[in-house]
Amino acid sequence: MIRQWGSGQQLPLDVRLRDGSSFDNFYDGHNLEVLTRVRAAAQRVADAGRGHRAFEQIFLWGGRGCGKTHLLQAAARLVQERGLTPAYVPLGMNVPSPSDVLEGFDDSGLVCLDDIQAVGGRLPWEAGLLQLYERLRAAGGLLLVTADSSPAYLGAVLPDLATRMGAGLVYRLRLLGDEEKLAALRLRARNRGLEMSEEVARYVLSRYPRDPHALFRLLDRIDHASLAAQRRLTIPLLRAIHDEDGA
Amino acid sequence: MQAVEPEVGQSPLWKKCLERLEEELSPQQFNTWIRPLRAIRETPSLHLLAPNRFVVDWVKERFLGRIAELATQYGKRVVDVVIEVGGQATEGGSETSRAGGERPGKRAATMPGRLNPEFTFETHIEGKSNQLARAAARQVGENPGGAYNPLFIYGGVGLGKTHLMQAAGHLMLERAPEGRVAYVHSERFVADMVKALQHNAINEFKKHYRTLDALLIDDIQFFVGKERSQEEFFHTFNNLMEGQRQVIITADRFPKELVGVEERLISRFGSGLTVSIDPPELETRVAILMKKAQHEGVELQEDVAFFVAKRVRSNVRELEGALRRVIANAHFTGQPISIELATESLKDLLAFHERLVTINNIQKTVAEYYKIRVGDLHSKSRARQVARPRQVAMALAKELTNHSLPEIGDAFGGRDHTTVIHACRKIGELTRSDIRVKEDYGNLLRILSS
Repeated sequence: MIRQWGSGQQLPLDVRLRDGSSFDNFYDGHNLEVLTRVRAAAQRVADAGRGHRAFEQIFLWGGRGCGKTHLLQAAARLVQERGLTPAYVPLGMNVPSPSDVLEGFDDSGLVCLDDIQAVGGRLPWEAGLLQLYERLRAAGGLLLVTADSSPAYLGAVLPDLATRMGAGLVYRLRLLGDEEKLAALRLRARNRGLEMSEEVARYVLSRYPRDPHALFRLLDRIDHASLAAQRRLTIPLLRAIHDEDGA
Repeated sequence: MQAVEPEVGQSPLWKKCLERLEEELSPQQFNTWIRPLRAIRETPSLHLLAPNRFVVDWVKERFLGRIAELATQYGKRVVDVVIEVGGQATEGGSETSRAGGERPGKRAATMPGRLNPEFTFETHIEGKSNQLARAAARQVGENPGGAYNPLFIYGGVGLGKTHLMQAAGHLMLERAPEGRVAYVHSERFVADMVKALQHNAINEFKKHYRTLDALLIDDIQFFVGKERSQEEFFHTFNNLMEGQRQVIITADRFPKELVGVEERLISRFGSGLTVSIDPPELETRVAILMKKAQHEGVELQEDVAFFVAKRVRSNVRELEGALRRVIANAHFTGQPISIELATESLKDLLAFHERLVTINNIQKTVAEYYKIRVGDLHSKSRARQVARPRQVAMALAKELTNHSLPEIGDAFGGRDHTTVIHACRKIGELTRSDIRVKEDYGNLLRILSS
């Protein structure tokens, strides 16, 4: 249904959702405090517009599928709605050199660095990030960073970088438990105008990989199939999708 | 000139394109490549600015055609799209595509130099570990260009070198508000110099640095191996020294240990006063926490400060991060700051990894715990001494991994997913009714996730 184009190179975690990532569709589970913090900080940037902004930094870490990228993208969306141009850099992508991608963000108001561990131990990148950090600190605004471990264990060769990452607020995002995944899945479905009964959600959780990325990808698939077939979301429909995918 | 250019980042045409692109692209693509674009004009062509060359190239290659299609569709006329590098400062309505002409001007406007208003002597905490460095910095602040020139401060990361050097800078400015005092991180010095060379603006660069009244240059160890930067810095340094203007340098090591920095620079560094900062001892760390808390208007009990200071030992930056987190947590929960709250808050900082738990790992741990073989967990045996551990292991696999239930069943000797559901239900019941199962399950959960 959705046109595929410009997909010359696939980026990691390529989850396509029509409802997009916003603070409203973030299922907080045990992560309410961090959600509140990030949202408030992004709101401050949006409110300040192009005026003076104090420098703020929040470091988010946790396992795959805990919602780090979602929060970053939600912050970017909120800030962009005010006409600012936030920067979002997934460091896991394959980029030749830091000087190519880390430039020109000083006045963005919001800079999001996703998966910073991907460049840990690579000196030119760490030096580039250190420089960016110093520039942002001087320019003001919000720096949001994510990683799979806490700042001290990033595998950074420059202690200067690791300690700077640990100098602001550091939050670990908790992975959702099964009941929370169930609720998150249903919430996400509802946001797309898709009614998913508890029975269907349990069916999904008992038969498919339960990593949130996989679940939301599946939701995307289900949504399209349900639209295409003009059918409500039921277990027989899921079976039909399953059979079709397997075929 | 700036006032006439409308804010078209939110213009109807670009806004419509954005909405559509957001639907068509993955969030990752949209956020990385499209969000940072800024529309500065939509007639005659849609004129977009990107933060850097990399984004320009990427968008040109992959998305430009589609953007033009959408702009044409929504603009109800043929719309060309122009994209180039440009930040907020360059959007003042210039008509022509520029070939580097505006860069030096922009750079000059953003030349580094500002001091952080928070880094003063008033907010600095004195302790045994930094007494000498503090006294020297104060002396230099009161009497720049005097006997202690250059002042070389060295010590590990996050110990307050930047704070002290900037405090000296503030003091200079207090006494001579018109003075030109610039703070620059060495990385920035190197990067700016490279850019100045690229844009034929090296003379402006030189002029900027050589007309200062005081230069505070941070983390000089970043000059290691960068000969051209060292050369330029050497001349700047000499120039300032000859004019009896103050230079303050910091590094993470003693001058003579800066291997890869030219000998002539090293000997110059040592020609003034060299002082070290050591990691703060416990009492100083406590004092730092108390003062920071006071600064934030937060009441911090001494026992809590000791508790935090004992756990975060290595540097002041992380100490600050820890305190920030504790305060944030207290604000959020509405609880007073206590040792219990601090324990909870610091977990995120002190823990290091979301441990990756695999089914194999669970089976191995469970088998060891119950003193059976991993093979027994895969076997068909229904003997109680094997069946119960198997159920426990299945429940743990569901709890701690993201594998689907059919995958989990498969990993236990090719069992069906309904067997896994049954096992999970059974263990769920037993952990409520049987104290031994509850204990075993709890222990295993702890072993596997700690």
